[in-house]
Formats: sequence, C-alpha cells, structure tokens
Amino acid sequence: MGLLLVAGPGLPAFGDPESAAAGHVSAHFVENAYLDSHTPNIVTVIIADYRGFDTLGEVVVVFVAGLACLFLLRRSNPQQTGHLLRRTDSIIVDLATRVMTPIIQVFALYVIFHGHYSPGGGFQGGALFAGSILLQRVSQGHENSQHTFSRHLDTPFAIAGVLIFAGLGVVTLLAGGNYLQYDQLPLGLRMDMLRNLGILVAEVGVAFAVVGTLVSIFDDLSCTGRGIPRD
Amino acid sequence: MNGPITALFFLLALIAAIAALKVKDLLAVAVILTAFGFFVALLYTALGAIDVGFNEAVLGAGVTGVLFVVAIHHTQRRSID
Repeated sequence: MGLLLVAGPGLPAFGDPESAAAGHVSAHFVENAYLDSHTPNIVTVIIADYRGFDTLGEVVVVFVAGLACLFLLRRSNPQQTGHLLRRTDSIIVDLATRVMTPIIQVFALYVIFHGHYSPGGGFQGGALFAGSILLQRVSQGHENSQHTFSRHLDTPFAIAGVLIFAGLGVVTLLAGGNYLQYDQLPLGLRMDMLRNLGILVAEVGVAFAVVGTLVSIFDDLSCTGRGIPRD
Repeated sequence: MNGPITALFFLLALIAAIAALKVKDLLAVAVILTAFGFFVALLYTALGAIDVGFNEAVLGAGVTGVLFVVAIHHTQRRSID
C-alpha cells in the first residue's frame, strides 16, 4: 500500500500526450499487430500477446474471486444442500430457453474461436457460454440442468483454464523463449502463425476459466442449506 | 463523430442509474441495473470500443443480473434505507 502511494505520482497524468502509451507504443502495436501474429483484430493481439502477462493476471484474479465465493458460500455436506431453483411452470419460458440455449452456446464457441478476426475472444465467449448454462439452471431447475454441466465440473474447469494459460507460458520457457513468447513454440510453423496459434490457446484457457468461475459462483449462491425459500 | 447517438445512450444510462438508486424493490433494481449495463454497452459500441461493449453486454446486461436475483433470494426483497 505504501509502495503504491510512493509509486503513484510517477505515473503519467490522465490523457498526457507525452506518455509512452500515447506516443510510440500504441503506434507500434497498430503498425505491427498484423505482421507479428497474422491476426486482423488488434485488440485480441494486444490482450493475448503483447500484454499476455497482464491477461494471465486477470484470469488469476477471476479465478481467485471464484475461490473466495466457494470458501464463503459452498456447503460441504450434500445432505444439507437445498436448491433455490426448480423447474419453471411456464411452457413459454421452458420452450424459449430450450431453443435459445444451444444457439447461444454455438455463438459463444464462434466468439471464442473467431476472436482473431472479429470482436470477441475468451472473456466474451466464456461469459456467453456461462450465461447459457445459467439460463438453463434458472429455467429448467437445478436438478434437470446437471446433465448438461454438472456442478462438480465448474471448479475443475476454472483450474484447467488457468493451467492452460500458465502452462502455455511454461512451454515457451522450456522451448528457450521468454514467458508467453509464442513464437518460440516448438511446432515448426512460421513465426506469425505460431503467435496466432498461441493467442488461440490463450483465449481457450481464458474461456475455460471464465465459464468455470461464473458457473461456480452461481452454483455456490443458489445451493443453500435451506432448500426452496418463500416467494 | 456521432454526437447525438452517444449523448442519447449516455442520457439513457444516466436515467437507468438514477432509477436504480431510487427504486426500493431490489428485484426491480436488478432488472434496471441490467438495463443500465445494456445502455453502457451501446455507449461503448457507439464510441468504437466494440470488444469492451461486447463484454459489458454479456456480463453487465446478462450474467450479473442473474447473480443479483439469486443473491436477493438470500435476503429480503425490499430495501430498508
């Protein structure tokens, strides 16, 4: 905290045209993003490649938030666990969510894997996928939605996501590069294609972590020790 | 660039934010907050930050609303203050 207070005034002022980010750094990103990684969407390149370490930190923050909810809210004894959610009585809600859920899921996968070319990426696609699972949880009830995505899967999903992203960094380290330096991946492709592939793996890791964490928070909140409460 | 549209979304987001502070029924507030998230997402998109707008549309206008509704079930529905 004290360190932060000491270091704070050293940062450039808000909107300072002389700062590094407004000067040569942004121009370098805009000029070289496509050449470096064969990816038209500059936002994706910056998030997953140039600032990959930042994004890894973000993923860990999301994961830790999910862990905090787990420790604060989850009931360990399954006998005591009641569910807030039961299946809806409305046939309109039932049918509409049944039609919408697979469409949202396919669109979420498209957003994750098409993040190189259009807006989107791991965070957006993962949140969409988690949203579709929450939609099913809310409309079909907790019991009926377990076969699509079991509540025992959500924490492993989050862990797997963080490990995919962090493990990618370790692979590049072992191959002789810096941490998360994708063009050192030992696959024998051109450098820009390697970075393209590295971004894809990072996005998939982010998506796993976001899906697992969001569904985990929701399940921890909705599974109480009290069963179905009063309306 | 597109001043009127940006101003309109900004105004709508402002109205939704003030309404969320004034309404006492927490379930209604959760719905108003998702509307706020949606207007902010439109604002980001109008300003050219499409990736950020996408994120806000999915998280602010979608997932957080559901989380709020479930969290309200753990407490009372009406705000006291």
